[in-house]
Amino acid sequence: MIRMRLIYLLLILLIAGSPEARASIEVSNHSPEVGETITLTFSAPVDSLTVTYRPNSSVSKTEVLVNNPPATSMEWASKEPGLVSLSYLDRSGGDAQSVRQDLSIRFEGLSGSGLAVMLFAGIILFGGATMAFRTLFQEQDEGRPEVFDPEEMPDT
Amino acid sequence: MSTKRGNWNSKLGFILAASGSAIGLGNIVFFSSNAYQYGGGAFYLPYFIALFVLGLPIMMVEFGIGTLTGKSFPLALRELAGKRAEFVGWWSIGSAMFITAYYIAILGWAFGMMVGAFGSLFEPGISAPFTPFETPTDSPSAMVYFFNLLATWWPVLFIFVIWGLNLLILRKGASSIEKAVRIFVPLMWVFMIGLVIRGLTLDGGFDGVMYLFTPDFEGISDASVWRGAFSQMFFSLSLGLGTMTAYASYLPRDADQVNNSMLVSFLNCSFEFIAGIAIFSLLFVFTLNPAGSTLSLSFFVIPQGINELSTIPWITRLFGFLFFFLIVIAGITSSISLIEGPASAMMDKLKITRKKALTIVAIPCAIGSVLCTLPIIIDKGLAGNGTLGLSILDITDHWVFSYSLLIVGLVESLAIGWILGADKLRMALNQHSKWNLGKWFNTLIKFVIPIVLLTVILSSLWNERTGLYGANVDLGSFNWLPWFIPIFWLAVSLSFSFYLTNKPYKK
Repeated sequence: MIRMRLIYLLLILLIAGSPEARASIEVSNHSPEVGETITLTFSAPVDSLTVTYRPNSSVSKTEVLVNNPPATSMEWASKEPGLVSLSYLDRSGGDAQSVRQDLSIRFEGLSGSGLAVMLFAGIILFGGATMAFRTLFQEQDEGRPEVFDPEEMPDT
Repeated sequence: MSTKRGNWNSKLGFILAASGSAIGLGNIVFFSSNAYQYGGGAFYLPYFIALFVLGLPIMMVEFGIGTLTGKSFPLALRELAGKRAEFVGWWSIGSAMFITAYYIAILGWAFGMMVGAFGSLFEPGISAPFTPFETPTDSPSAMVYFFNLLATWWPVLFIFVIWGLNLLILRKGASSIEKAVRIFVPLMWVFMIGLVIRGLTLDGGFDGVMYLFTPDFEGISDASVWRGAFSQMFFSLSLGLGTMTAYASYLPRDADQVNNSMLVSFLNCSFEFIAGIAIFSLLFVFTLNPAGSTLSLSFFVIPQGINELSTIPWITRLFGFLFFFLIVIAGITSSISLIEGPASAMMDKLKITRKKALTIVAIPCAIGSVLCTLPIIIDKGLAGNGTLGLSILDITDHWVFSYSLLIVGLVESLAIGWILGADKLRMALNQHSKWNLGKWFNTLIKFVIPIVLLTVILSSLWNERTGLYGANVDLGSFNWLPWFIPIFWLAVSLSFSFYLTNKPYKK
């Protein structure tokens, strides 16, 4: 469960954080809505951009956008809400280095199905707990003492 | 010699203790990590279904056998399903002791991070004795702070503090556990609700919450999401460890265990519900990409979010302190139950005093905790876990946590379903319950749960085919650890079970 395999995290950290890796992706809006077009600006001409939806999850999806000819900026709109990672390989400094930018893509308005699941789960869980609490204390009101009678205890 | 086991003073005390046992690191740390890993909205619906298909019925079995027999887990299984079932009970107790050892090591690190909130956790210029972290940071970094902490002897001191607190709470059994949980469990809720309020009042926080709850039907069709959801439910409710049976054995025989199971399970999942809201709102607002590990979310990512909560340093420090304090108290309410399970089982079987039972459990487990916090650096480049302690913990956790609980759950449902008879347990539970269980309960215990658990276990084993866990990292002179640890765990836990099962038992 704990899975302290840090290698991916460290690689990302080292690539993104090393002094040589100053190449970057500037975005016009860090939290756009789904379908909202934003401008991405690169520090050097980029020929292809990888978009990863739900990065680092087992259900992540990747899409590669091609820039032909390579350019220092492009327009992009997310197809899905949630965390999205944009990355490209920067070859300007000799060795190719991955440059990454994470974004939080907002829902377009209110997510009806999300709200419905949240309310449904909340009502079942908190409602169920309340109902069970009431049952627990009803027994007490009906005559069973809250402090148990030691005579009633299992013989151990 | 007869041994007095003690009893709960009130129903509320039992509910607080059992829910405190269920609510632990699994709810705060692992739930959010798993929910993210399995796609947020793709995860929540399967997880919710798992509560009704797996969580509630097994909880009813574990509570039921505790009150019906008035015995701890192995002896309850013996009484209801024979000596072979007792062996499995002792195996779960042995595995619970391994889990206790490293669970307390994690709490020791959380304690170190809590102390660090008022030290250098939220300050720039920190470094750690590992190649990637040798240069002092330009900004605060919880990850560098954590690895620096890991490479010191402080966590060894902190685990003794945590062990001391556990034994202090457990010294008088049910009555002293009850006193502690009456303070700790409500505090946990208050702190988590505080974090929810802060997360939701940040711009974009609600979108993070919607990310958790909006169903992603493409992700739901992925089998691994269901495996993750069912495993999370089992771990989160502390099933297969013997703790719930031990707690229930202190209740009178006519306790309504259907209602108690519902109450504890719903409280546990309600806590996860609000923990998910708090953590996903922070993840989204600060665009925190939880790469890497399960622990990384709570030890690195959330502190990073907390660091950006306020520009006023003392507020950041206070939030950081409270977050790790929450993890420590949630962990302690669970670790006391992890220790109580083996202690009560030994008291029952060996007819020894509580003090002696606690000593027998605490000494090997505390040695295990020390091993898991050893700051010896064996992997300076951090290709793996860095220190000897964390490597031991990681490999132990992989084998013990991933397999023993599920195997125990499988055997338990087969023993109760087919040897005792699910119908007998159902009738016994219905006798004192306001909510009568229908015949669907028998179907779940006899067929559905064994099939689900067997599928999860086999698919996990299938994933092992690519190589021995941990063997892909060079551990220097400790390269034998990846094969030694699973063999050691199996040899020790099976010998322990064999010895205790064959020990004469006087009722």
